[in-house]
Amino acid sequence: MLTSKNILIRRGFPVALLSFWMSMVGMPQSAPISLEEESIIEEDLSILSDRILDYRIEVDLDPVNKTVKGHEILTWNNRSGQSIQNFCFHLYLNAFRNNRSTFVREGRFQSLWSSEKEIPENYWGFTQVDSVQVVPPGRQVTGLDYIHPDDDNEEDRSVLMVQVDEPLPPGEAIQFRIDFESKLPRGTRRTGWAEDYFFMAQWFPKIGVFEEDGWNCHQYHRSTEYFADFGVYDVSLTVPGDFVVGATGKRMSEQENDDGRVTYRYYQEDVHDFAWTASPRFLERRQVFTDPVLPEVEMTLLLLPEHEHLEERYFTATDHALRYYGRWFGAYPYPTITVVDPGYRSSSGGMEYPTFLTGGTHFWAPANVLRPEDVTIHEVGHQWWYGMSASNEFEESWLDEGLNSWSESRVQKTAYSPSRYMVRFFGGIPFVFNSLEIPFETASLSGVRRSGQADIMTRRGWEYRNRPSYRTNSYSKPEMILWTLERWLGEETMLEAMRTFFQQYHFKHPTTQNFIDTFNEVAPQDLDWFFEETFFSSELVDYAIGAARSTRIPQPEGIFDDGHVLPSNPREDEEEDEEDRQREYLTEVVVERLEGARFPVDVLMVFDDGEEIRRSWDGQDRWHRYSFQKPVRLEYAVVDPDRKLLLDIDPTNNSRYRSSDEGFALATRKWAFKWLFWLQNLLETISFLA
Amino acid sequence: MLKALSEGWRLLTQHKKAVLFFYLANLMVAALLLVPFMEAFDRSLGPGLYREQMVNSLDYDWYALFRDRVTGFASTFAPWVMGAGPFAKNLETLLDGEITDFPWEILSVGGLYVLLQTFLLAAALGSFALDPKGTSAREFFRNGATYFGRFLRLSILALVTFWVIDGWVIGPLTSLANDLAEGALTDRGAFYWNLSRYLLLLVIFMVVNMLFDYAKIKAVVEDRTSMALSLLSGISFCKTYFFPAFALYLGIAGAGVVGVLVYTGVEHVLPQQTWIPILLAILWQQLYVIGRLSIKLFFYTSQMQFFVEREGLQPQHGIG
Repeated sequence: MLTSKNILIRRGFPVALLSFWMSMVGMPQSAPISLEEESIIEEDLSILSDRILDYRIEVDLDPVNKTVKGHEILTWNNRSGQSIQNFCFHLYLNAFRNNRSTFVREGRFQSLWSSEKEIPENYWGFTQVDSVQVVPPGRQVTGLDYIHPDDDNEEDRSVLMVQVDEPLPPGEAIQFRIDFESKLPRGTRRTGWAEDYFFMAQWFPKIGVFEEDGWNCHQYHRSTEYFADFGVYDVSLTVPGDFVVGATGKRMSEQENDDGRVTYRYYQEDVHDFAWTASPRFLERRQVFTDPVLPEVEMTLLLLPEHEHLEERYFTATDHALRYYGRWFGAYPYPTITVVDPGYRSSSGGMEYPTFLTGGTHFWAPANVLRPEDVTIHEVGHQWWYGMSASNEFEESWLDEGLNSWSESRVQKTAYSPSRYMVRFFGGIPFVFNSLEIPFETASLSGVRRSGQADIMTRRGWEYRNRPSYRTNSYSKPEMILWTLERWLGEETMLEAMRTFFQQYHFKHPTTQNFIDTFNEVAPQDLDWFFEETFFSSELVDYAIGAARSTRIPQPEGIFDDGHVLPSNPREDEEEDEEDRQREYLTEVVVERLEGARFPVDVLMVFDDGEEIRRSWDGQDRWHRYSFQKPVRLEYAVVDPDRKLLLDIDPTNNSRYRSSDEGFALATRKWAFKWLFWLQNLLETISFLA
Repeated sequence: MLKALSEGWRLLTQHKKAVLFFYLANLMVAALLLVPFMEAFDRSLGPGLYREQMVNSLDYDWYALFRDRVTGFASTFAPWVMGAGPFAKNLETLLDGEITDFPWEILSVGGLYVLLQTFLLAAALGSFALDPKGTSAREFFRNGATYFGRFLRLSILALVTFWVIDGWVIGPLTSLANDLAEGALTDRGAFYWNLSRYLLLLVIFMVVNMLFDYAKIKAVVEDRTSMALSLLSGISFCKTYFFPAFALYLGIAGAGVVGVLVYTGVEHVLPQQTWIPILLAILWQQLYVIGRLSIKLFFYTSQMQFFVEREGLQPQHGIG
C-alpha cells in the first residue's frame, strides 16, 4: 500500500523540480497546497519521505586505475531549529586507506586482504576530496578537517568536517559542489574491484544526519553499517562501452560518447544511499513482478555467466520477497529493483542498498539447499528494514538486521520447504543430507547460545564486545526474540503490529522505543516486561523439567483419629486381590529456571492413562513444584509444550520421562553405531599411511 | 594383470581367516571408544522426548546444541556420518594432511590400530607367501611374529615418508592451489583448481602406498631384512612396471569405490526407525567393513601375484 497521496499543483514543471523547489523553501513534502486558484491534478507519485538532501553526481569510472572521479552537487536542507556552520561528511572509503584507520584497528589490525602475503599498492582505497565550494557563491568554505567523534584515532579519515563562514539558518538550504576522486580498494568489506568487476558502495562524500544534539556522523567502524537522510539521487555514470551497469533507481538515459564510453543516468527519489556496479561480464535479465494487490516492479538481474542456470532461482526469490514483505508490511513503492550476482571474491555479496542489492551463490547450488534464495530474500527484505525504515544502523543495528532476519525466515517458511543440511567436500562438491532439515525458526539459536550473554542487544554497534557478539545481537537474537514474540501474540497480532510499525515509521528513522511503543499499542497488552527480558538484558532463557517422579503411596499405617491402629508392617499381612487395592501415586514435577531471563511458561504433564494436565507458571522463581495424587503414574512432563519460548537455549531439557529405560536410548545406539562405522573407516584411512 | 587378479582372488579365498582377524582388530579397536561415546551422546539427548524423536532422524536443534556443548572425541560426531559422508570426510582429511588434528583419544586408538595392522599385515603377507593353500591360526600368528619387526620398520618409514609429503608436497600444493583459486575469475574456476589439487594428491598418495606395498611384498617373498633396501627395490620394481602395476592398483581401488556406492545406495533406502531395521543397518555397515578389509587384502594378494609373475620368481615356499 502506498502512503497517503499528495495533491500537487502542476504548473508544467517536472515533479522532481517541483520537489526540489519545495525543499528549497523548507516546505514539508506532505503538506497539502492551497486549492483555490490552481488546477489540481492528483498524481500517483507520492513523496514518501522528508527529502532533506538532493545529490547530483557525475563521475567517470577508470577501470585501469580503479578510480571513480567526478563531482557531486549536494543540496542540503536545514530542517532543524538551529543555525549550522559545520557540515559533517562520511568518507567511508578512507577506512581502506591504510592499516591505521579505526576500521582496521577495531579488527585488531587483521589485514583487509588476509590471503595476501604482501599487499599491492593498488589494493588500498580512499576518497580524496579535491575541493569543496558553496554554490552559487555566497558563503565560503573556511575549513576542512578530519574529525574522529567516536575515538581518539587521529589517523582515521572517515569523517570530514566542512566549515563555512556564515551559519545556515533553520529552514534554508545550502548547496555544495564537491570534486572528489575515489580510489576503489581491492574487493573488501562490501566494496571495490575484483579483476573486471567493480562494485561501488559508500563511494562518494556522504553528508551525515543532523539531529537535535548535533551531527550524527560516526566514523566507519568494523562492526557497523550506515545512516543517512532521505533525498533524491540523480547520478550520471560514465564507463567503458562494453561494461554493463546496474545501480540504485531507474535508468533514465544511456548515451554513447564520442570516445566510445557510455554515460548512464540513474534517478531515484526517497532513498538514502546510492550504489552501483559495472562489469563487462554481466548478463542482464529482466522480469516484471506482478501481484493482484501490489504495484508492479521491474526486476533487473545482473548475472555472471557461470551462474546463468540460477537465473530463475534468483528471480523467484526476489518475487517471493516483494510479495510477502509487501503484503505483510507495505508495498514496495519504487518502480525498479536490481539484483546483482556478485563477482567471485569481490566481498560485495549479501548486501543491501536502496532498490539495489547483491545476492550470492555457488555455481553448484543444490536445489534443496536455499542458496541463493536465502541471501536474495534477505537483501530484498532490507528494502523495508533499512531502505524505507532507515533506522540508525550504527546505533541500533538490530532494527534492520534483526527485523529483517525474522522477516526473511518467515518468507522462506511461507514459500519454501526447509533447507537441508549440506557440507562441501573437496573444494566444493556438495553433500546434501536430505533427512536433516534446518528449521526456519530456530536455525539462529546457536548464535544466541554462544554469544548472547556478552552484551545487551540494544547497545551501539561498535560497542559490542566482539564480532560474534555484534552478529548475535544484530541478527540471531532479535530474530529469535521476534519468533518468540510471534508465538506469544499469535500470527495475526504479530503481523498487525509489524505492519503498524512499518506504516507509522517508514521514512522516519524509527528507534527501538518506537518499536516497543507500537507493540504495546497493538498487542494490546503491556509488553514492557518482555522487552526488558530480551532487548535490555543479556540473560539467557532456559527452562527445564528438573524432576518428574511418581511415588507409590503406601497403605495407611500408624494411629488415626478413629483410634484405629494399623499393623506396622501391613504388607506381610496383605492377601487381598489386586482389584481391592487402591493404588495411589504421588506425582511430583519440578520445573526449573536455569538461566536469568524470566518468562511465564506452561507445563504439561501426561499420565500413563493418557490424561493431560496443563498448568501455567509465572517463571519468576528458580523452581516450582507440582504435586498430584492419582491412581496412575506420570509418563512424562514438558515445560513450554507448544514451544512458544523459542529463545530457550536448551530444548533437550524441556521434557523428562518419569522413568527412562535402563541403558542407552535406541536413538543413542543407532547414531553411535553410525559414528562407530565412521571411526572404523577412519582407522583404515590412518593405517593407509603406514 | 588379469591373471594377477584371478590368482590374487584365489589366494585370498584360501586365507579367509586373515579377513576375520583384520575385521576383529578393526572392530575391537574402534569399540574401545564406543561406550564412552554412547555415554556422551546419551547425555546429550537429555531425559525427555528427544530420546524418542531422534530415532527417526537427526534433529537440527539437537545437533546445534551438541555441536556447541560437547567437547572431546565425541565432538567428532556430525551429520556426515550418514550416507557417503564418512568416506568423503575421511578422504578429505587424509588429503588435507589433517589426520593429526583429531582429538587425542582418536589418535591413540589410531596408533594402536596401526600397530595391530602392522602385525596382522606381516602375518597375512607371510601366510600368503609361505602357505599359499591356507594357514592355521597358529601359523598365521607365527608368521606375524616372524615379519613384524620388518613391517614395523617399514611402517615407520612410511609414516616418515607421508610426513615429508605433508610438509613438502601437501603444504606447497595447497598454497599453490589456493593462490590459483583466489586468482580465478569465477567460483567454478576456483573449484576446478581445488579439485585438481585433491586429485593430484590422491594420485601421489596412491603411488606412495603402492611403493610400500611392494616393499612389504619384497620383504616377505625375497626374505629381506633391510627395509630401506626393500623399499628401494620396491621403487625400482614399480619404476620398471609402473603402468601395469598402477593399473592393477587402480582396478582394485575401483572395486572399492563400487563398494562405497553400493553401501551408500542400500543405506539410503534402509528404513531405520525401529530396532530391527537399525540392527540390519548396523549389520550392513559391518558387512561393508569386512568387504573393505577384503579388498585391502586383495590388493596384497594380487600385487604379490603380479610381482612373482613379473619377476619370474620362485619364492621361498612357492607362491602361486
